[in-house]
Amino acid sequence: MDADLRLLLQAWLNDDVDHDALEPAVQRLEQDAEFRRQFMDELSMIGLTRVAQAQTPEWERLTFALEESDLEQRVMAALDENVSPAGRPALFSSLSTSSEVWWRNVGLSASLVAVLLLVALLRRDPPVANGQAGANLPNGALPAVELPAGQFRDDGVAILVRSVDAQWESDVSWQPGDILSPGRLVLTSGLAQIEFYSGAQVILEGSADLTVVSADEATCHQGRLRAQVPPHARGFRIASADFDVVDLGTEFGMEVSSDGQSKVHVFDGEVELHRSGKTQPAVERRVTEGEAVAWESGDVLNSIPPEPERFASFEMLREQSRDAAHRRFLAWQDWTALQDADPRLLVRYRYSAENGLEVVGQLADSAASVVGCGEVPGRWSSQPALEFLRPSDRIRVDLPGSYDAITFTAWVRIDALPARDQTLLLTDANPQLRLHWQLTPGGELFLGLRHPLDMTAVPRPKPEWTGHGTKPIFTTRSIGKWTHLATVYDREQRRVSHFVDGKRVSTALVDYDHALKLGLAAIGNFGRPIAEPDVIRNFVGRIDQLSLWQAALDEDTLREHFEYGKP
Amino acid sequence: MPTSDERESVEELIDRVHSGDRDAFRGIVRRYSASLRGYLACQLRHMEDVDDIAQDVFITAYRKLDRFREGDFGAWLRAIARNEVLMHMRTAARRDSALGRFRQRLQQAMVPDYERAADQFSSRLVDRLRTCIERLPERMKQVVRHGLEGAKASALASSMNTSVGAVYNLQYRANGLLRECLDQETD
Repeated sequence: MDADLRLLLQAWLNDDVDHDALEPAVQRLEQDAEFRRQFMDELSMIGLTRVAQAQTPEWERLTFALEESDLEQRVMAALDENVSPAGRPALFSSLSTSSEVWWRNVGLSASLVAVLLLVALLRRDPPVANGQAGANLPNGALPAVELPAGQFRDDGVAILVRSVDAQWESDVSWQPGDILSPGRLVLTSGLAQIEFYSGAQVILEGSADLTVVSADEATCHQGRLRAQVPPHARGFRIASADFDVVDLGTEFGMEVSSDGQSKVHVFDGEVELHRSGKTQPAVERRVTEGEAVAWESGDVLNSIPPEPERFASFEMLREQSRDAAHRRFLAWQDWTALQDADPRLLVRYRYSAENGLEVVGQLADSAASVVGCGEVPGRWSSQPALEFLRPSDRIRVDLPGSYDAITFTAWVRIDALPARDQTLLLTDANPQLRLHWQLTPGGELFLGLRHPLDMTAVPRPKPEWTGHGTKPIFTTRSIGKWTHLATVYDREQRRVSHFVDGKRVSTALVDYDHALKLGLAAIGNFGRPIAEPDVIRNFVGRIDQLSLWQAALDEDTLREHFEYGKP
Repeated sequence: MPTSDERESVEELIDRVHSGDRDAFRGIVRRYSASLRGYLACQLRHMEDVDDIAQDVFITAYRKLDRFREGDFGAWLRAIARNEVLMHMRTAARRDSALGRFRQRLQQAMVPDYERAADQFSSRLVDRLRTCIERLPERMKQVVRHGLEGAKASALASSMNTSVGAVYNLQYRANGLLRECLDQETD
């Protein structure tokens, strides 16, 4: 055996490198093709004999890559397509178009198909509480709008800026931040400030009945309001049964009694009064600063003493709103302290300026760390939240244990609705469980569960998914608003239920009979994907707390969560 | 009896993957894993690294399958593997610069030879090699089965009551006999 060859092989095999001793052999290797061939012969045989004698690798990551790459997307897309409301492909038509080969090859089992059918049926007629329609958000003004891809429309004309002790008619619960479409607002008590897109601002005092007509027009049927109209919103009009008030850039009050009698008080500037419903006729009367008029019966317009103090001012409302928010914050703090001691609280992740990420609940000692994520204002002025913006932003967590029932709750502010999934909580890939709690590109709240994989089985079984999502409920209207999300997995009932702002949005039976084992996971992002590490699924918005409860919380409890937590 | 994967050409298997049949990629892996692992095992000392990188290569290949154009699929896999090995060696070189420099220098000198050798590698060759190993004289078989990487050579020498040099000679002679055996089998 050539001495140089042996030296090189020994060095190669042993990592025992004496550079000076090896140098001549290495130089020979670099210059002598025949010597290289000899060395290669030895290396080849060493390599091949090792492969021949080594066990076949597990290829576990590869198996996962094959099983999980776009399977999740496709299964979820299948669930989405097959079980969505009318207007989308039905299950059977989807099956026929997606081809039998797809189903056979991707390995969706008959049981999953059965689940799809079941979910489809349930989605058509979801067993929801209180007679609420499945897709209704509290504001009830989020219709799904069919538009060409990439185009969006919004018929909003005003926004509810703030409110104090506001109670609304029936079960409608307008929240500050809600965008208002043309329609009627009935405020039974309290104060509400509405900002029209034209720039005009109105304070409505309950009880009041107002129809928002457009960005620069409203009709007051009954109640008291103060309007502030900046110069760029001149021409803003408020109608009553008697007359229309056309503002010329000023501030005025309007009062419509229950018997329909109208009064106008001008606090600043000037307004024009027209006979009701007639936009063209001559100005009936101009009313200037410090004047007030009442439309008496018999079409007589009389001057009355101005009473500006009877109308709530913007300063007062701002102050009251601030005080009310602080009171709510204190009440929420007390309530949440009680919740923290609830034995059902598995874990709560929240963020404070003083302590950063806090972990409370039974798993208070579990690992959690913030990656990226800026600190931004949260629901409460004194309590920050974490911002998820960049694809890297996430909270890494470890969730040990096994649970037959889990309720996921979170206070989130959705800041964008990209055409991709947005993660709320995603477990890492592991044979036991893959769990996706997320928002879909279609604006659905979705819980996807993969059945445990038997990694010892030969051949390796195909992953089976089940899951349930709401109808499309998040739209551009949802952007920028703090929203309470909750999803319940109840193994005993075999149900998944979704709640938004304390109201049940949908419930479905799922073909899943396993305790949830979460393990390593990520909040606001894709955990540690092996199959597609470059797929972006981060949440875009803010999260100021996310909790897991080892119980199937009911709707009353979740409504309480919302009522105490709403900012 | 060959499976359907084995009867199909790699192009057919790739077409099946493109049409959504992930199982077809398993067929590709079965077909190329031995040769790819052999290619890597000539360059990397630890089998764990070999299998790790082979797995990464297949995952990359799966994700980039649409970029494969007609040609030698094995060579395409090796092109991915070359990059992976390069990255691996750079990382290793950062950990141990002396050893890293040695291995990188070998790597640079041997790249064309690795390619030429790997062209001959196949699952069938590895299967035949198993038979050939069984036919080796007992002491050589012992050396081949044991492997000489790391501290194994001295341990084996001690258990065989011989010198480390003699063990390396046994390995060298065994490799020669295996080559002959493979050549005969091929004939």
